[in-house]
Amino acid sequence: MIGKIVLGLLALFSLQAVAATGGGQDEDWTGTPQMEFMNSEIVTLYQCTSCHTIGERGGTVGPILNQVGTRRDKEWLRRWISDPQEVKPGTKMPKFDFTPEQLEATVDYLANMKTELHTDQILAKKVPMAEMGQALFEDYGCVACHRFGSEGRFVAPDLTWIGVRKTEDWEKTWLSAPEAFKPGTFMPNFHIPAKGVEALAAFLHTQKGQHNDASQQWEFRTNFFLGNTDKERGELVFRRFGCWSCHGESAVGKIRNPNMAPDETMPGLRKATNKYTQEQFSERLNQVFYPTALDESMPKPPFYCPDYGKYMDKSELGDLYAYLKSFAPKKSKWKFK
Amino acid sequence: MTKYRTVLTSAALTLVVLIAWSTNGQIAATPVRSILSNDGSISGAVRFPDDYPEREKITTTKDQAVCGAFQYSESFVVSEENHGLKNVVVTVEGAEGKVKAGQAAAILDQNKCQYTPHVQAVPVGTKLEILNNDGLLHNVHAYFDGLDPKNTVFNKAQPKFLKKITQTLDKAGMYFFKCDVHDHMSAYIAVMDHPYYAVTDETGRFAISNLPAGTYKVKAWHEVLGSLEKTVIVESGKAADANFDILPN
Repeated sequence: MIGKIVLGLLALFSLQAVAATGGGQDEDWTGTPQMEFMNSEIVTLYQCTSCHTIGERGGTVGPILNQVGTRRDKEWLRRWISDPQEVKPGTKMPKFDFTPEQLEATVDYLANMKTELHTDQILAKKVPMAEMGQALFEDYGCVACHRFGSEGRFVAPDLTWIGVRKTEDWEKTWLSAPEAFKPGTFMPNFHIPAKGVEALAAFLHTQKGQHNDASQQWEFRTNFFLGNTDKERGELVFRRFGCWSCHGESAVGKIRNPNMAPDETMPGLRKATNKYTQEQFSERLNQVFYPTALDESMPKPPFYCPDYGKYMDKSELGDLYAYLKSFAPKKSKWKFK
Repeated sequence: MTKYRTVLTSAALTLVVLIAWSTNGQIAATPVRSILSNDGSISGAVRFPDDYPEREKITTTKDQAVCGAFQYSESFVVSEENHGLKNVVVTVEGAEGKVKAGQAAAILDQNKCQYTPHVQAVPVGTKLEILNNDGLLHNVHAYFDGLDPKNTVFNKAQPKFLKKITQTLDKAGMYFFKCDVHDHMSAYIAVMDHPYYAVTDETGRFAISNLPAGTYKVKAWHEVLGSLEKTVIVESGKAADANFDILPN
C-alpha cells in the first residue's frame, strides 16, 4: 500500500510526461518529417497534439502519428481528414474546416511521416516464428492504435491478452485481409507476406498477460489522482482484457461473429448485471464459453469468451461488474416525486 | 352591423360545439383552447428535501493552465437557500402553439473548459453560436437523443483561433454536447417544437406563461433524475402550481 502511495506521488509529478510519451523510449526526432510537421503552422494553429502524439509529445486520445504514412496512403488521408464521420461514424476525430491548400499540406506532411519497414530482413532471420512476429509487431508500429502492456492507445483493441481470446488461425485470417472480414474496418491492410502473417499470429498467440502488470501500472499511474471509481477502473479492465473487442465500445455488442446463433452478432453486456449477480458473473467467467453454432456443418464461430475469471483478481472482477452495472437502468440516489 | 356580428358569433359558437361533439367527449383529455385568450400559466419549483447532494469535483487531466486543476460537476446544482435544483427542463406535453424560431441566436460558450449554459431550451430552427474563448482546441461533438457514437449529429473542431461556429438546431428533441479533447465537458440543449417550456433557475423555479386554459401533462426532465409527468389544470387568467419534489430513492 505504501509502495502504491509512493508510486502515486511520483506519478503526480510526472503525470503530464507519462500521458505524453505513453511509456515510450526517448528518441531523437530532430530534423525528421515528424518534427517538421510538429513545428508546422498546421499543428501550431490546430493543435493536433491535443489528442495525437507526434515525436514524443502529445495527447493520448487518438493514434500516435509517427508512422502514419506507413499505414495510410494519401487518398485515405485526404478522405479521412475531409470528413472523419464518413469514414468512421461516431469517431472522436472532429472535422476541421481546412482550405484545400491546408488539406493538401496536411496530407503531404502525414504521408511523409513514415519509417522504413524491415519486413524482408526480419523474415530472413533464422529465429522462432514468435520472435520474428515480435520484431514485425514493433517494426509496423502496432501500438500507434493498439494498447499493449504499458504502450499504445485505446483506438483499437488492447492486445495484452490477445492470445487467450483469439485462435492463431483467426489471427491469420484477420491479418491477411482485415477488410475482407469486416468491411469498412479502421484497421489498415498492411499487405503482410504470408510468412509474416504467420509470424505475427504466432507472436500474438503467445500474449497471455505477460505484460499485464506493466499495463496495470500504467493505468495506476494515470488514474491514481483522477478520483477513480470502481466503474472507471472497470472500464480499464474491460479494455485491457479485450472484452471491448467482442462486446463493443460501451458494451453495446453488435460485433459480427460468423455462424453464431441466433443472428451472428456478439451480445452487448449492458444488461448483464440484471441477469447475473456479482457472484454468478465471476463464476460464469471461470470457464470458457463457446457460442452455439447456427449451422453445425459450418465452421465454428471464431470468437468465444475465455475463462478470464482465472486471470482477473477479485477486485478486477468487482470493478468490471461495477462498470457493466453502470449501463443497467440507473437507480439514482434521488428521484422525482 | 350589430346583427351581422351576432350571426358571426353564433356561427363560431356552433362550430365550437360541433367540434366538441365530433371529438366524442375526448376534448377534456386534450388541451382545451380558450377562444378568449392564452392567459393561463404554470409555475413552480423543483426542490430537494433538507438533505441534498453536494457538487462533485471532477479532476481535470490536461490543459490545467486554462481548465484549472478541477471543475465542479453541473449535474446537481442546488440552491442553499431553498434547495431548488437548477437545470431541469420543464415542458408542457402535447401543447400546441407556434414556435418562435428565427429570433436571436442561442449561445453555447466554451469558457475555461466548461460549456455555458450547461442546460438550455430553444425553439426548433434556432441558430446556435458555439463560442470558444479558451484559446485552445476544443471539439464540439453533438449527439441527438443519447450518447451513442451512432447518434452523432456533427463533430467539429474549434481550433484556438476559431471564436465562433454556427449550427442550426433543426430537429425537436434533446441534443447532447461533449468535447472529446476534454472529457469532462458536457451540455444539453432541449429543442422544442412549441413555445411552452422553461428551464429551472438557480432556485429551481420555473414559469410557463401564455397558456390556453386546459388540462395538461407537465414533464420535468433532469440529466440524472430522468423525467416525471404531472397532470396540471390551467384556468384562464390564473397561475397553476406544478411543484416537483425530489426524494431519496
